[in-house]
Order: sequence, then structure tokens, then C-alpha cells
Amino acid sequence: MPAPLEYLAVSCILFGIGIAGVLTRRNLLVILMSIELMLNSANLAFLTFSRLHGQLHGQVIAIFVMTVAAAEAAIGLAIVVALFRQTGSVRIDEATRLRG
Amino acid sequence: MEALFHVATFYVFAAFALAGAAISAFSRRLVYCVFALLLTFLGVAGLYVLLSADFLAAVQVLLYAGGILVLLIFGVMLTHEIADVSTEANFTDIKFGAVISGILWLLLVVYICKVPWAVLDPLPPYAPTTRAIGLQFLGDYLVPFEYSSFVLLLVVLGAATLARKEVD
Amino acid sequence: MGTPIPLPIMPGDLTAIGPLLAVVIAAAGFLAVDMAFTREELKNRWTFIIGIIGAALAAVTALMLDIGTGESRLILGEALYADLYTVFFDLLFALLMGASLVLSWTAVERARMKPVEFYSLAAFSFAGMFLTSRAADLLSLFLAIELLSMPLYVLAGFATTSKTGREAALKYFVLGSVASAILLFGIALMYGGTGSIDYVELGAQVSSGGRDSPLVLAGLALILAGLAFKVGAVPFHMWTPDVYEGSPTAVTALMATGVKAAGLAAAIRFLAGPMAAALSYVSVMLWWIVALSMVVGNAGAMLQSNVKRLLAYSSIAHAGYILMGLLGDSLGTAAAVYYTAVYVLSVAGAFGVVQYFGDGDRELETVDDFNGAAKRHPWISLLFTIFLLSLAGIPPTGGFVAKFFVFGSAIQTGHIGLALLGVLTSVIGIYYYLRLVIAMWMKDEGRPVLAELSPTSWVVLGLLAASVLALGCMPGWLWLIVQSAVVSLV
Repeated sequence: MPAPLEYLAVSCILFGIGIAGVLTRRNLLVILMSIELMLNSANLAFLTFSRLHGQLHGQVIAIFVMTVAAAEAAIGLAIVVALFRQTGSVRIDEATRLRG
Repeated sequence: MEALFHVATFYVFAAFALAGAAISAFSRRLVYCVFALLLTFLGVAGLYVLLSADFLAAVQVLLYAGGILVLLIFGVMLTHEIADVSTEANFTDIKFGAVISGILWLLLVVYICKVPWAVLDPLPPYAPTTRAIGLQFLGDYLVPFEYSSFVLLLVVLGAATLARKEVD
Repeated sequence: MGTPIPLPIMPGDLTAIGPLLAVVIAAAGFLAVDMAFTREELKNRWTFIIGIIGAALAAVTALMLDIGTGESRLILGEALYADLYTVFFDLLFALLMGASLVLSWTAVERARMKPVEFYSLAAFSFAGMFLTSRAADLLSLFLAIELLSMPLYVLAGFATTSKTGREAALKYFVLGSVASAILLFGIALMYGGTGSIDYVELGAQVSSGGRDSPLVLAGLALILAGLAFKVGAVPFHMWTPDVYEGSPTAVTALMATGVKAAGLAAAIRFLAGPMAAALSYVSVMLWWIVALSMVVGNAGAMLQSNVKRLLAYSSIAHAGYILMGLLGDSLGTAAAVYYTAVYVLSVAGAFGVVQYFGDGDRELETVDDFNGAAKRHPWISLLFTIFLLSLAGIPPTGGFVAKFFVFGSAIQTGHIGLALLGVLTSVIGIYYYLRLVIAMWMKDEGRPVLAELSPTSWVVLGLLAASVLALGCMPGWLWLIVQSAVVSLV
């Protein structure tokens, strides 16, 4: 039987890949996908713990997370498309006037 | 024998999920990124089944693979010439991002390894969870359910506003 | 068929979420107005009327809550709280909504946004704010924060004709979503460590030693990181200056007041409420967040010449001062709440004034643009000076009293080094706020232009200034209310 640790390891690696993607990529669409990876990893953690505790709460929470993930993807893509119509590019480093 | 089968399926799904994630986060070709994401979503859905969350596995396939992925593909098609060869996706300065994410990740792993884990009991016979989840929505989670509908209404409104904005 | 499901709604619960319902109904009203009228003036007039009615209704329903003996009450299936603390923040947010309607109108139109669209999205953000202060479990907290931030992602990118605006919107969206994901992963670990997401249950688990405490610890750290992002505290502050500068000023005002106050309301409820036992786990992390926020915020603000960037950096510093209160005992928590109220009133006023300076499409940007403002527009300069002095913490304004309470409680609970650092950095704060005051009153070569102020804007700005002064001269009454609000938290 795979132990909770193994499911959590998958979840953690997914989270790490997501963060690395957000921080290192320049294409907005890839960044959006990386954010979806992070939300997916959180969901996997919720379900693992739900199973571990023998409850349903984690599963119900995961459904809310999916709702929010879909909402975020929709807003993100609307922003991407609006941006593209103005500049013709979806790269995040086109302008670097604003810095810290 | 059955346990062995279970372990094998776990590793297959985990490999799907992780390989897909790695490709979609690090590939230079945008189209590969999107389709690798499908692999991840399906792999994760498989893991959900192994965790005896049948309803969520179905939702995962419907919502992520069916909804969000299609949105993303639309995003790719709307923002790039389809035949464009240069649908590439470059990296920013890798060092800074890699160091930060590395540290965060390491911390997580260290903490999670410190936990004395109980081994999961052998799976109970697969029982459908749909009804129980539905009851939760009408009971304990009624209020979050209601205000997550605000979130959805807001998204429709926001996306419509952004989309119909005329460009100067 | 199975047994009937009891709905978790008691009579009176709906009054307890009255403010939330009021703003959501107002949002629906805005949409109806947008559809019903075709003439722009009619739309604008009805938007204003409905907005003001919504804000007033929110305030009235907040006051109608039966507090009873002052204890916290769980409502609607134990998902939300209803107590004096929520009433306090409800009134603050209702006031903010009214102020935003009156004061930001010019800035909204200057940024070529339609007021109907701006306020219908902003209303959802206010609904999120009303939820953050009353969230009683981590799921409600997460959804509230999402509801609060998503309209602002849209609004920040709404009026972007400029390159900086586009970049700001993108930065805000990407970093905001990452922060939400981090917060969510923290919630997952917390749930894993304890098997629950209710604050009360979590508090019981944590104070009894907590099963699997490494998970709880990691979860707490991630949740704190996610909240620190919304509040704009170091090291999760990098987005603030850019986003504040690049967004339309009406949106920036909302971020600096509402989002920050809501993040703080959630953080205070989370760390000083039933979960107070968990605070000792993360006090070292909180200590560093506070110290770094004060230093980085004030040092950064000193170097800025752009007014919006200056206010952005100083808001980082203020987040540090407010969180310092959490390191103390219950008096410290009360001081943090008091400071939040004073900060919100002062910043709402300051941004309110900034929005009116400028002509046509252009806004005043740098500190030097304000040269000679007092000569041409003495009254509004006086109001601006009051807000700035309050932010700098100079008596007789509320800012001084708030700083006094926070530093006092820090010293009492043994954080003398931190209090000393706070005092030292406040001195830097006085330098850069006074630079703006001096530009207005002592220099006279510039001729800054002021947009026309309606009588209602004068009234609102005057009220804000009067309340800032009142909180400085007669702090007693609010201090008592805040203290009993904090008692109801635990």
C-alpha cells in the first residue's frame, strides 16, 4: 500500500514544480498553467489528508478549490487576452520600467 | 497480488502527473506545455481514484481536462498565430527563482518527513461518495457554497468587462 | 428517501450577515442600472444613489446586530462569527465604501472607467472584506480573500492605456494568485495536521500539543506568508510599490485601505482569536516580519519622489507597526485594531486628496508637483497635512496615539528592542511625510491644479480629518470599544 507520505511527496513535488514555473518563466500562459499545478497539488494534499483522517471534509474543500481555480483561470485568461490585444505579446518582461 | 497491483498503479499515475507537470512548466514549446498539462490532470485524477475519491476524480476530469484546459488552449490560439513557429516560451533569469523555490520546497519536504505517518488502512470497498458530499453541501458547507457563487458571478462580470473594453 | 437535512440557518443569522447582503444587493443594483438606462448621466446618478444606499444599509445592519453579553457567536453552520469585532470592521468597511464612492469618482472618470462598472466590481471586493473579518474557518477565509482580490485583478488592468498600468495589473494578478496558492497549501497542511479547519477546533488541537505538529507548523508558516502578501509586509512586499504606482489611483486607494485592512482583520482574528496558542509557534517569524517591514518600508519611502510610491512604501511600514501589536498581549491586539482604524481613515483621506490634484487626464505624480499647493488651495492642503501628520504619528492626531499604544504594549511584553526600532523608524517616517508638507506650505514656485470638489467630497474629507483629530485628542471611547471587541475574539 502506498503510504500517505508517498501521495504527499507527489503533491509536494507538484507544488515545487509549480512555484519554479511561476518564478522562472516569462510566458504568461505558462505562468497560469504553473499556478494551476500549485492548486492541483494543494487538492491532492487535501484528498490525502481526507483519506488519512477518514473524513469527507477534505473532499468538499477540494471542490471549492476547483471552483476557485476555474475562476482564476477565467480571469487570468481574460487579462491575457486583453493584454494581447493592446500589445501583441504575452511575455511578462516586455516592459521593465517598474522595478521594486 | 492485489496490493502489488495497487502500488503499480500508484506509481504509473504519479509518474504521469509529475512528468506532465515537469514538461508543462519547463518545455520551451507552448503547445507541448498545454498538452502535457492534460497528462498531469489525468494522472492526478487517477491518484484521486486510488484515494477513494471517485466523485472528485470525475470532477477533476470534467473541470480541469474539459474546462480549464480548453480555456488555456483558447488562450494559446487567441494570442498566437496558429501556424506561428515561434510559439516559444522563454525563461527569465533562472537563478533567483530557482533558489527561492528550492528553499521553499526543501523546507516543505523536511517538515513533511518529520511527521510520524500512520500507514493507510487497506482500502475500504469502494463506496460512492457523491451522496455524502452532496449532503455536506446542504449542511456544514451551505454558506461557503453560497458565497462561492458570488465568486463565480464576479468572474463572469469581470471577464465580460475586460473582454468588451474597447482599445484606444 | 433519507432523513431530511436540517438547514444550518437560525432566525437572526441573516441580520448578522446584513452588511454582506447589502453590498451584494448594491452590486446587483449597479448591474440593473447599467441595463436600465442608456444616458450616461442617469447611469452615473443612479450608481451614486444605489452605492450610498448600499453603504448606509451596510452600516445600519452592522449596528443592528445583537451583541448580547459580548461573547463571540458562531452563525450559519459555524462558518462565520458575529461579535463586536465584526461590527467594528463592518462599520470601517461601510465607511470606506461611502468614502470611495464620493472621493474616487473623479479619479475613476479620469482613468476613463465607467463608474457603473468600477463600482459593481468594487462592491464584490467589499463583500469579500465583510467576510474576512467574520470568517470562522480556513475555507471561509480562503474564499473571502479570493472574493476580495479578484475584482481588483480586473480593476487594476481595467483602465490601462499605459505600459506601467499593464505591467502592474499583471504583476498583481500573478503574485496574488501565487500567494493564494501558498495560503491554500498552508491550509491543506493545517488540515492534515489537525483534521479540522474550524478555528475553535484548531485552537483546541494546537493548545493540546497538536498531533503531527511539524505539519501544523509548516501550515501556519505558509498561511502567515499568504496573509503577509495581502497585507504587504516584508518579505512579501515586492509587488506593492509597482502595483500602487501603476494602477489607477482609485484602485490604489482601495488596495491601500480596504485590502490591507481586510488582510489585517483576518490576520488578527486568526492569530489572536481561538488560535492564540499557535502564535507562540510563529512569533519568531512574526518578529522578523515586523522588524523588516518597519525598516524596509520607511527606508524605501525615504528614497521615493513619486507620491504613490511613497505612500506604498510607507504602507509597508504601517503593516509592520500594526503586526507588532500582535506580539503583545490582548492590549497589544487592541492597539493593533486601533492602529488599523486610524491608518484606514488617514490613508483614505490622503488618497482622497491626491485624487483631486491634477488637471484633465494628468495626475500629480512627484513630491515636487505639490510645490505651492497651500498658496492656491489652502483648505485642501490643510486637510492633506492633517492626514499626513497622522500617518507620520505626530500629536494631536490619531496616528500618534496609535503608535503610542502599539509601542507601549510591545515594551510591556518585553519586546523593547522592537519598540526602539519602531520609534527610530518613525523618525524616518516623519522626515518623508514632512517633505511633502514642506513642499505644499513652504515652497511657492509651482502651481498645482485642483479638480473641482463637490460639496459632498468636502463633507467626507472634513469628516475623515475630524475623526483623525478626534482619535488623537479623545482616544478613550474608541479604545474602550476596541478593547471589548478584542475580548470577544477569544
